[in-house]
Amino acid sequence: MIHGLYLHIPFCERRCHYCDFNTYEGMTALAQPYCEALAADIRRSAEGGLRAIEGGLASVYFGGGTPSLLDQARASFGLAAGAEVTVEVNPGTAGLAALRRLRQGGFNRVSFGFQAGQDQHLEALGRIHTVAQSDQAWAHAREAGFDNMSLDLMFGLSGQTMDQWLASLGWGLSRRPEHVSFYGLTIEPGTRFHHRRSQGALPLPDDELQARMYEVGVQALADAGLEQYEISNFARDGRAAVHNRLYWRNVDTMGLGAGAWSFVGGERSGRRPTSRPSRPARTPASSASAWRAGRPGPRRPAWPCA
Amino acid sequence: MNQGLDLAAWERRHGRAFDQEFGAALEPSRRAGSVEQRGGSLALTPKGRLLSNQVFMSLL
Repeated sequence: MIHGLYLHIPFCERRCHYCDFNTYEGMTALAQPYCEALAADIRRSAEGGLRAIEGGLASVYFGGGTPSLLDQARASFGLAAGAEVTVEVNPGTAGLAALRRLRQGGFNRVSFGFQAGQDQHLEALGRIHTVAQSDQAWAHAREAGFDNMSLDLMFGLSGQTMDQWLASLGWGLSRRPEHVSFYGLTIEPGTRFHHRRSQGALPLPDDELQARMYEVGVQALADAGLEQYEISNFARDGRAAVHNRLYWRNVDTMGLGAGAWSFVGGERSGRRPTSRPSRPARTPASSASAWRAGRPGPRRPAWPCA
Repeated sequence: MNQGLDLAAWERRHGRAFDQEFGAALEPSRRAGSVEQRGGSLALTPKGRLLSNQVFMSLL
């Protein structure tokens, strides 16, 4: 019986240079049929005998998402009273109207990929937004009624100084987030950064500086009243993410959508590609058939792509 | 999580003694000060959070 549900929406306006998630640029034409197929997958999982724990799901987490998918998750599994319903949002694509629709559609938590407080670093990371847009998206989400909001920051960036990292932390904290995640940049195979690194073109802070960045980050958040509840995540007033804690508690969670991972009945499994969709976009049917439920490979580190 | 792994709960779930299973593998992490026992839980220390992948790898 599953405690949580993760739904992966793999469409990006632009892929970040460090991202090794299963994401695709320029294929948003497939978004609507993909979401319909994903809704059908949720329905079929429940029809196939998968059940939520007594009282319904404790958490639904959307890597991207729409209210209609949440409706399907609620219809198929039920949502517990007070369930955490999170959507990852890119600050470059978050308008007030869309955030209002999400809030009214039942989402009660939003996670923004802010990553850095300097436009030069956002650009270098391949992000599609500026610091000003991050500020605006945050304000819009508050205006839309979200009172449980998280932001992601990254350290160990190429050319990033300690002062810049401290400035990013200070700026993020000045938004008064309920929750913060921060991550050290890692260079994953298959990313643009990996290619540049292999050519010697991406100098990174040394291990000592990265370790100090982590430590001053932990301290800065503690000073601001955010308690560290796991390696990379911090929360105030009991707002530790239900979603994250389900993973750490090793309870059953279902992941649906292209590339999503599940842990059900002591078995880990992933929705893995049998081939990578190519452009121009294939028909939804043939694209969907490129995915199968498969045995898991090595677990890859989780990266914020929103 | 920072609260660590509840060892009694782990042993109930798996029906095995944790120390017997992982004691030797974890010894280098203990000696390095990366993990510590707090009450009935085994947890990463602040230093261990920086080196968590090394600790986790020793358990695989």
